[in-house]
Amino acid sequence: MPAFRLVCPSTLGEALAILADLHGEIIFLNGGTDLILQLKEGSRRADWLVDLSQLDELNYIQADRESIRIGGTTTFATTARSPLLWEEARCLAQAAAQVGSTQIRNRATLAGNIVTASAAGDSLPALLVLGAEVGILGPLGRRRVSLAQFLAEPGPALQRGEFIAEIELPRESGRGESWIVSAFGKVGSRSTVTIARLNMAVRLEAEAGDGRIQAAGVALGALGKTPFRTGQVERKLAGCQFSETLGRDLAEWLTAVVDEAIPGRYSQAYKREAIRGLAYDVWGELLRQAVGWKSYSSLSEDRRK
Amino acid sequence: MSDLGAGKANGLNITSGPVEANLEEGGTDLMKAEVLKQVGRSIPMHDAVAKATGRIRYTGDIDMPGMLHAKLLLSPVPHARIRRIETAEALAVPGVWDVFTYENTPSVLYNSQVWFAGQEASKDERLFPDTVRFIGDRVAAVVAADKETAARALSLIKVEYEELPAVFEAEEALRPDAPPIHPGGSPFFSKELVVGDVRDIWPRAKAIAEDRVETPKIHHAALETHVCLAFPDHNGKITLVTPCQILYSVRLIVATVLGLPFNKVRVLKAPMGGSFGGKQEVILEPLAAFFSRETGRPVKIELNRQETILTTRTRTKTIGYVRTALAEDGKILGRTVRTVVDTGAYTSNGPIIGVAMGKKVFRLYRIENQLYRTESVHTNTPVAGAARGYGSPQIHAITEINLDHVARILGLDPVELRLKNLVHPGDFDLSGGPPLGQARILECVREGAKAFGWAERRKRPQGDGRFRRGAGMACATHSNGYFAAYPDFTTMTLRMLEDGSLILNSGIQDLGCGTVTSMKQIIAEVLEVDPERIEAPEGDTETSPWDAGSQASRVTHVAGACAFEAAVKVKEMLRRETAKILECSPQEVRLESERIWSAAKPEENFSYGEMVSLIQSRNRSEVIVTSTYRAQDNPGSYGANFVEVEVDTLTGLVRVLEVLAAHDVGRAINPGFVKGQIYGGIQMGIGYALSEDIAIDPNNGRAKGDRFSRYHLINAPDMPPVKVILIEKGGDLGPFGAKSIGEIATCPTAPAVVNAVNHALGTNLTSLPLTPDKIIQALHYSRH
Repeated sequence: MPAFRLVCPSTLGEALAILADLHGEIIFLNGGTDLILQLKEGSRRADWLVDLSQLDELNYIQADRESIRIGGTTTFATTARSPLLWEEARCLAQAAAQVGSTQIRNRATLAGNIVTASAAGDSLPALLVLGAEVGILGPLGRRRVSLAQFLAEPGPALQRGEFIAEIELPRESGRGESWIVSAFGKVGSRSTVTIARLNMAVRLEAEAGDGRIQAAGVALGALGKTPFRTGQVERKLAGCQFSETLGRDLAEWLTAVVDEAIPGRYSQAYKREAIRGLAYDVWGELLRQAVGWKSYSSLSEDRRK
Repeated sequence: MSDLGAGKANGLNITSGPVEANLEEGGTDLMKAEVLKQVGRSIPMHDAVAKATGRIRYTGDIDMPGMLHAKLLLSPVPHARIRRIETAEALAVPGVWDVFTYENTPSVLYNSQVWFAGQEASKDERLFPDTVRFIGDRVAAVVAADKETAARALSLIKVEYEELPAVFEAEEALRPDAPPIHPGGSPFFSKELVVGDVRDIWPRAKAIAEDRVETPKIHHAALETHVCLAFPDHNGKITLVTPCQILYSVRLIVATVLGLPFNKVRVLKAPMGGSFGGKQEVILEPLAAFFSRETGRPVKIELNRQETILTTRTRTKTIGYVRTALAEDGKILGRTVRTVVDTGAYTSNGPIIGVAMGKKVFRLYRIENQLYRTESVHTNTPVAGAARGYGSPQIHAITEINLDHVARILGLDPVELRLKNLVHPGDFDLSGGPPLGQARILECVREGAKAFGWAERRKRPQGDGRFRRGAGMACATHSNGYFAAYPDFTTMTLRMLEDGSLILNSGIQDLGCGTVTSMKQIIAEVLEVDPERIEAPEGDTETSPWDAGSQASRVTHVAGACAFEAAVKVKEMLRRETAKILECSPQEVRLESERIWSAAKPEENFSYGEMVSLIQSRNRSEVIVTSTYRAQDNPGSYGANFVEVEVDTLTGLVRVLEVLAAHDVGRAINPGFVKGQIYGGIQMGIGYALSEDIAIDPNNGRAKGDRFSRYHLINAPDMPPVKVILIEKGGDLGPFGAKSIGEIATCPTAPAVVNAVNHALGTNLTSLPLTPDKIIQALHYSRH
């Protein structure tokens, strides 16, 4: 491992003060599950390693009326256990629960997953369909970009000395008569501790009465360089009646998306089939959630009568 | 009267049934004992607590004063002559002690798998070659004060390569125009084994199935990567600390390469962090020994995972062509089996593995007409060598998948087909190998099928939805040592000390399978002592007698028999010496629960310790025996696996739902160890069937599976429940009738899994591993 110097600020104020004085190249350390290996291999090096993982101020999952905010040092283990996320952003909780192993989830962070921006990063499709925004702190202060924009950046998305302090998810103010479900799924080389060969998150907002889909979010990972939302599929879903059979249509549409995303790639033949399995898995999970919603809404209808 | 252990032992449940071995079947008096006190107990491994609590010191944990670290530069190209190596810059780094290349190291050629002096083998390896032959071949090494410095200096070495044409696929290596990797080209070895005549069986056949089966190059995946420590002394002696499988092989090769007398190389067996055959061959030891001699300092080499995958050993990639003819009644009329063994860039044991595979095909079924032909080739890929099963997993995958295929053609149930053809106890090896002994594979299959519910599971519909279920099974056989192939003997010295405790001095190497504890249980049984009273340290070539090593599934069967004989002789000596003290005949001396007395005067009884002290002071004798055991049999170990799988026809992922393993082990010295071997063997076997592959890119020779993120082992969440049935009927010459389990445990698994997948899908998949991509492709073709 090449030599570097390490600073471990324990408050955000301290961290910013230290950063203002540092010369040379800086790498931020959070969970370290990717970085430590890269440092050992020598594929990354820096003069300074700034350890963010001790910043308790950034270890939170909070909500106000407009948004859910997740601090930059929040681990996947915490994310996966959050009742709030489980209730309102289930696809993210599910993605967090499927990242790596227990040991990795205990250290790795959502912010780290975003910065690493792996094509197969499990949290990214979930965050994309949730419309996540990334709160960045740095020498020039605070700025915010959408995750989609962050991932689309051709070069490094962060400037020198910048780090992700917060991830913000817009919160549904509740459009009255609609319900929202979301789910995440992945296909790897085995059932756990596996890097996704395909992953996907779907979020649906549907009318409480007839289950007509008002808005759909569908994001895919491990198909090319960056996870992406597929507008064409989302538009097709919008306006459809939420049903079991619609899942079959989704599977077909997604096969076409795979063909467009990785034409001629060796893995195309496999992924265009496997995406259907993944679509059914995710759709099945959405149906289960919707059954809960329906029984709830039908109960309330009964009461009204 | 003290009660050291006997009460405890009597109170423990004996998991095996009554001992049925009798004298006719080669048993001894002791083996007739109705109740065994120590053998059959599942006591913990001698170092289990130290390993579980992190207190054990593996070689990687050892730090010596002044110790240096070596790091290897591995070839980035698959085949090239080295034009020039520039090391000055690396040498100039502060903390660097020396840099080694082909220019300043011995050019002595050796073969890393040779384990006894005079063994014939093709010697084509040297410490650092001037022509590199695969991505991962050794180019240079930096020896420095610490690992970081060594790594930094390594990056400063400049190498100019003159690239040569390369070949990555076994069958391409067979083509006459293939670029030669060693003089003479490929195949560099071929052999034919024949029984009967296969020429006229085909017209008589009711069903014929022909298959090409491919098995992958895999990594052993021991938790502990390869590591070795060497240090010189003031008299020119080099001591090595190494988690190895064959101490005397290490001594032989290190002494040969360094030109040292054998007694100036001392090899100490270090605690083993996993091997599975990967540490059977001598890879890092001559390097560490040479570096330590040159620097005059202790030198440690510790590889990381990627280096271990690339530059140590792998299982041979093997292509098999099988053609089997069945008669109308389901009897196998005959079979031809041809294998192409890809041993990688250096010969290692490529020829022996091909022959070992061939021997198995004559020892599982009664086949009167059979032809086996093997060819070994070099490719510009990582070197193959010993790997748990030593060819058995390859050949059983090849033949057992084909057997299900031919059963399908005839519409015969796979179990039924096997019951018609499997060998019987007492059968001979038609190809001239040693007799099969108490070959109880029929019992394995019958009892296994019943306990698994084979008939019901096999009949259950596979389903026509997304998920399909299937049941499959396979059988296998493996050896018990080297008898009839190579010199196989072991010498041990056992002595009883003045407090009645014992020390066994032997050249054993425990690979984590429980060798030390098994030896203690065998001796304890014979001598009526608690196993805790015995020390059985692992080998030290300076002080321990010679041993052929922990290989060939020989340890329990052969070395265990040596421990047994040594214990019997110590008992005899103790009787003889005691008789002098108690003034009675040796026959009158009674021993039980570490007490000893004369039948004539039972009231005058002594502890073992008291008696040994008396023997020393009055008879001026030590109770010590050195005994050599020469293997006199090599029966087959047998096993059958029954497997149920569920295949996701959309993602191509296979889930193994349940496995039942039935094994003929003769006698389980320690049933817990035996079951542990079976669970682990099945884990390896499922990976072999479904996901493990170093996967050399046929275009550039690069290993795709050179790290665990891309090399997929079966982990705990994907492990199915495993049930074990042990057939323990003894009868062969191992201690208490014990036969091997460590290697056979993994042999039937992969073909059983593949057969189950083929049953689920109605396919005939024969290229391992059955990755999701291959399954989806097969389904795609079967649909269109």
